[in-house]
Amino acid sequence: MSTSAAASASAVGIESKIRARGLNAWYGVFHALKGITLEIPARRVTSVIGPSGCGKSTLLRCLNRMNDTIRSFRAEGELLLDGADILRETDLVRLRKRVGMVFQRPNPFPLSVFENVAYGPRIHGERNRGRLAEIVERSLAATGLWAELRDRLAENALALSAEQQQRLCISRLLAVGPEVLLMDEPCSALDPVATRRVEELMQELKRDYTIVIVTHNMQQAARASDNCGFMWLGELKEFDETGTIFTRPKDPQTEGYVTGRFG
Amino acid sequence: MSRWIRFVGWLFTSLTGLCCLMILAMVVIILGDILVHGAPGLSWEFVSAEPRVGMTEGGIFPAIFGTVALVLLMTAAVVPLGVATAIYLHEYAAQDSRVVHLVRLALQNLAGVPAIVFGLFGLGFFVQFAGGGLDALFFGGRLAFGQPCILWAALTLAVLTLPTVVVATEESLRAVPKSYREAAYSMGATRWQVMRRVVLPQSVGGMLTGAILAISRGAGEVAPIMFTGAAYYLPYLPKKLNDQFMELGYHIYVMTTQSPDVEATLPILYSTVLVLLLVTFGLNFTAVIVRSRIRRRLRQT
Repeated sequence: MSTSAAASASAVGIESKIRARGLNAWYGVFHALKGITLEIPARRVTSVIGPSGCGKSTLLRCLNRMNDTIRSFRAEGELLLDGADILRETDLVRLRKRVGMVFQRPNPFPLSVFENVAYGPRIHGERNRGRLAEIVERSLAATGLWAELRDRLAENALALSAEQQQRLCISRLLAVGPEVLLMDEPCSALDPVATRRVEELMQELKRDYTIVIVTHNMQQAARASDNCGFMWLGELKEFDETGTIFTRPKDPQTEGYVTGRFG
Repeated sequence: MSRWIRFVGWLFTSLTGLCCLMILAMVVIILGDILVHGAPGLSWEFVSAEPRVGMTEGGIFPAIFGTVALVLLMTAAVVPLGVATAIYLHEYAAQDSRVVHLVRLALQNLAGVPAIVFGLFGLGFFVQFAGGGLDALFFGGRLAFGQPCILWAALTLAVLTLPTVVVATEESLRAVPKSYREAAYSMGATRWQVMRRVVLPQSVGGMLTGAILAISRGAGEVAPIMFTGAAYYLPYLPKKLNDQFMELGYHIYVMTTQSPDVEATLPILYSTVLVLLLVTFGLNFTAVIVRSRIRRRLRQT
């Protein structure tokens, strides 16, 4: 650990899960991420806020290489997961198994509840019916869905409410056994009550998982995250503990954004 | 002024409505005429016996059998080829690549080629080149596949209907929401796993729609098969891939143009046309049933 940020992180006994240093990314000629440097602590909720188009989703999608499908996309710099280079990882299956993603709109497959959750273990080679059932129960229980849906496992997932669908998507991800959960505005399609439940869920999940959430809902970042970064035009303007960002921001633009003066 | 505008509006509504009525009238007249003249000739003998007495008596069973066999063979050839082409074009190929552009251009052109040209192409490519080649290589020059037969006729029809299947399949692949693919990829699915478990189950209905359209198109075509395998008169059924066969559409063509006594064949002609329509309808209906079965099974799992 050479940077002072890393030193301070380890000083308080927090290990970092993901580390970026001088991360740059482009879509064609558009410079989307400009020299991002940050440390995402393990088993904490880290939020990234900023106005639309600031690059926060791009940053998130770098972490499990979801932008690889975009041909004009290019990323350079250092991005480490437990010290291993993400950008030069050749085994994307292994990377995404460790770093999974929850999307803005709940996107369960048009299959049964059971099949949705069993999908991940299945593609990673689990065939045993008993073990699959066990994984499905455990994953649904982790999001509180088991109690609600234990008798409706054969029902089509599209028949669930939006909030249940989103929790199902989280369960589906947990079934793969990831270490990092990336959430791209996971509550923007949900009503306030449902949003609160997902936020509570994040608090429970952070005991076992490292969570990175992108949101343009500042209250959500303030409520649900331990660390927070503010992005503006592709730059990470400030990255600190969430309380500090919202009460004593150092950057004037951060202050302008969190106090609602623009954005 | 406003009265004039209202008049134009009324005129336009009437004209467009009239066009719709005309189409409706044409369908009713055609179907009605065929039904009125064709229905009396329908009998068990007609659909189960061979033609007799210069095709003025007997039945058309060989032609019915030949049509169904031809269409099934064609479907077996065109669906895998068309679906594979569409999957490559839509899922695997880089969308801005020159090859994809060329393949799409070729497909569009293929869709615009007149049917008779396919017939001549089939004769030259399948019968003479492919068939002749097979004979020279495997049959010591003896005539086996180097002649018009049901296999070459089916393949010629398959080429004709290929664009239909490709377009329908691509359409159905495009209809699979991007979010499903993203979800699967983000859990570490490989491209094949995303195809196999997410995309294909979602789009199989559209692929079968392509097959249905191909059947509708292929079952009525005469020009592509007249040089490549359809026979004027065969009292027996095709048993091997290199047998010739009778076909309803071709049979109709022959009876109208080549019969020694056109007047005498007229009742049979009408009934044959009716049977062709029924067979085409029946094949379509079967395909629709198969599609809804598969869709239902997919929804359950």
